[in-house]
Amino acid sequence: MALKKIFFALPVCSSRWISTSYSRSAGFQGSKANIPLEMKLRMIERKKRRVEKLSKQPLAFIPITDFFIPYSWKMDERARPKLEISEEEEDKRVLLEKEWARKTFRSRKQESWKIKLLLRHQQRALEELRQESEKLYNAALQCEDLSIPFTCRGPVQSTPLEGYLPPLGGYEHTDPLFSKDDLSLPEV
Amino acid sequence: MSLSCTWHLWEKSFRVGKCLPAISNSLRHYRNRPTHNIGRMHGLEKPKPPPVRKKEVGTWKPEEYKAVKENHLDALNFIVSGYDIVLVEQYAKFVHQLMIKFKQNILEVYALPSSNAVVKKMLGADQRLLKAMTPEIELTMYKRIIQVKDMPSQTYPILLQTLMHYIPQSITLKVDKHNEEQHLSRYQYRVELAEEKAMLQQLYDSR
Repeated sequence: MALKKIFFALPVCSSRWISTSYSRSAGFQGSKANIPLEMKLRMIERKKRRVEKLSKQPLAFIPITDFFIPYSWKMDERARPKLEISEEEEDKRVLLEKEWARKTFRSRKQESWKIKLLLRHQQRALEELRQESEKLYNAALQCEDLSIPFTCRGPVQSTPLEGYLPPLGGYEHTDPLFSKDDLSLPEV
Repeated sequence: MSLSCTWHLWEKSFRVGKCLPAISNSLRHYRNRPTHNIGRMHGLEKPKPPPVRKKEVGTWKPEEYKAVKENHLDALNFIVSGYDIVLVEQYAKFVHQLMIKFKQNILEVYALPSSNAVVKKMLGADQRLLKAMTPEIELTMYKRIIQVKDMPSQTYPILLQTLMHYIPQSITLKVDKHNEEQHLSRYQYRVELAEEKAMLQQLYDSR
């Protein structure tokens, strides 16, 4: 009776015990050694169903963080003071903008006219070719010889210097967020 | 409506002092009749496509990206990338406007997630590996994509020429066919699915 009293008076703690059944032993990885084939097949079917269920879930877009501004940039102390421009200066600037607009409009018009001319000449040449021979016309319209995939890089401000040795180094490219598995721990 | 009728209306309105009626006032509305709005042309809405079902978000449908007509190109991706976001955006806008001007079938214009390019310098002999070098500057590479379908094969070189002429500094333009890999690069990596698949593979191997 006294023992029982002590037992009930003590705070109840979970009793730890090791199970000898296959699925209850600690961790899934450690218990694959002695599983009977039937059980394995059942496990495989369950996993297949789980994989099917997960693969039916819709894909989520990776968020575009291009325009995220850090909060430290939005402090009032960082704001520039307002510039005071005289009327003359303002007039000059407005007139310059108008001249620029006129110039760009003219150049844009010329360029679009050039492209239209090119297309027109191309169309005419194709018509003439068709009159010559149908085979050649069909061959000219094929999509196979076009340069796809194509890369083009923008121009550089200055030409490369003669005899210049750039410093040794390299470029390291990181993957965008959420595109790869990030569960690996960082190197210590 | 005869001329005398219109004159009559003008006179009446002048005398009453109200505003002048429209001269072609022969359109009477008959709102209770089924022929109401019979000649209406403004304010018409285009039929909207059915909303994308949740299950089908992100699925790869190759039929959507194939050319409909003969001698026309399949869905092409014009990828504008660079580290200067202002230039990238402006050039992408230029490419888009050019496609609109030449009446191409633009499927989508979107941004890909940005990645970082770290420029590293080797300062000493013990920094031979890329990991060990000291980083000088970290630049974010921005990407914009303009997806165009059914481009005739004869206009493609002309448009390419104009794009090459106007490409700004530090920008790379890449033209590629749209495939499943590029399609899936917009979406998040599914960690759970990959783990479950790995476990399934382990089970298969241990049989």
